[in-house]
Amino acid sequence: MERQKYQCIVRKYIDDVYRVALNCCHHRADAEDAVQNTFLKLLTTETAFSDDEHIRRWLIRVVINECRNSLNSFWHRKIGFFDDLDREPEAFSDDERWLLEEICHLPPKYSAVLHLYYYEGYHCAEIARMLNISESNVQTRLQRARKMLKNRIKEA
Amino acid sequence: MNEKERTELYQSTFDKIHAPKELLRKVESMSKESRRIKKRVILRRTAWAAAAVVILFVLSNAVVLAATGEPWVGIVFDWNKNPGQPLENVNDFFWENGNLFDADGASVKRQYYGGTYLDGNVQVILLTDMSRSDEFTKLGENVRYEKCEYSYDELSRAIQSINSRLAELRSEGEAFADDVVGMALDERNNRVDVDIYHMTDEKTEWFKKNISDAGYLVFVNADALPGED
Repeated sequence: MERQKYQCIVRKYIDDVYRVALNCCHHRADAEDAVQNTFLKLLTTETAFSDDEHIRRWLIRVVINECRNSLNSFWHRKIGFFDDLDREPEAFSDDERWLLEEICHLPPKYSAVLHLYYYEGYHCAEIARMLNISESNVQTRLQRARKMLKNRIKEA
Repeated sequence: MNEKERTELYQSTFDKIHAPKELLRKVESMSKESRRIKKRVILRRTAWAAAAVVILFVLSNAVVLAATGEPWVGIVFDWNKNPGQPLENVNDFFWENGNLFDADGASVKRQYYGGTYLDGNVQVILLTDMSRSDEFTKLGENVRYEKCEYSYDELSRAIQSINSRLAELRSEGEAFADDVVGMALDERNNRVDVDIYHMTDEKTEWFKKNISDAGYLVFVNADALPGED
């Protein structure tokens, strides 16, 4: 891939890829490793991308796989990632802070589905293809994630 | 908070999270050579991990040998001769063995399989046809079988078909269609949960009339969702 084109894609999609990685890994350093590995794969891939959306989906699918590998790794960090929210340049409202902390307590497979559905705006069928699971499994994960959040509200 | 507000909260929250500048700089300056460097790091880590595993293996066997007269490897082999422990998730078992889902990962082949759940440490497998229970012996002895009414396949397909119908109704501008906020296959009860936002009799009747009133549907009130007081 040409250098200029590569850098253009990096600037355009790195935030999206990083957000997905954070939701899947729950740790900044793991997420950053996954993002680096994803873009390394982009450098060497021979995939012929048809349009921007194709690139975006490819990047999301690869970063999810990288995060899965990371979660199975001995080197995976097991502590939360939203413990240093103040590093972000923009301040979070109380609701936003609450949401991030609660997402951090969800198992990664649930938070990843929530992110793809609510933030990236993908339909269940598209998420199912990205995660290589059935559509009803995506529905179930979404519903369970909502229930877990609901239970935490009750506990609070 | 409705589905739209929930989405907005989610989006405003994550809009504020950006990749660190240092990461952007690193990624932008990466080249194909970086992969080789990365591989060297991985190899070094792998070598350390392998050495640690070997040391642990030798030491733990020595300790167990001194205590019991037999290394733990022998004990494990004996254990392996016994029936296996229940798996936490039979779906994963089928997935790995490729005999529940088709190649596209969508449809269920075994029409008599109704789902599974854990009851304490006992794996409960639901079957519409109890005579097929002998096919699950690989899962070990700690398994109980229960008769169920609907197959997993039937319930999965029901969810898909309800989703399609909901999409049609949404495109026709049916207001109640937006209040159906989720569906899930409840394997323990062999039912499909339908989450309805601020559920009322009027909404459930509308659902039954316009979509389905099948016996496997259970309507659930879903009024406290992420971020909602």
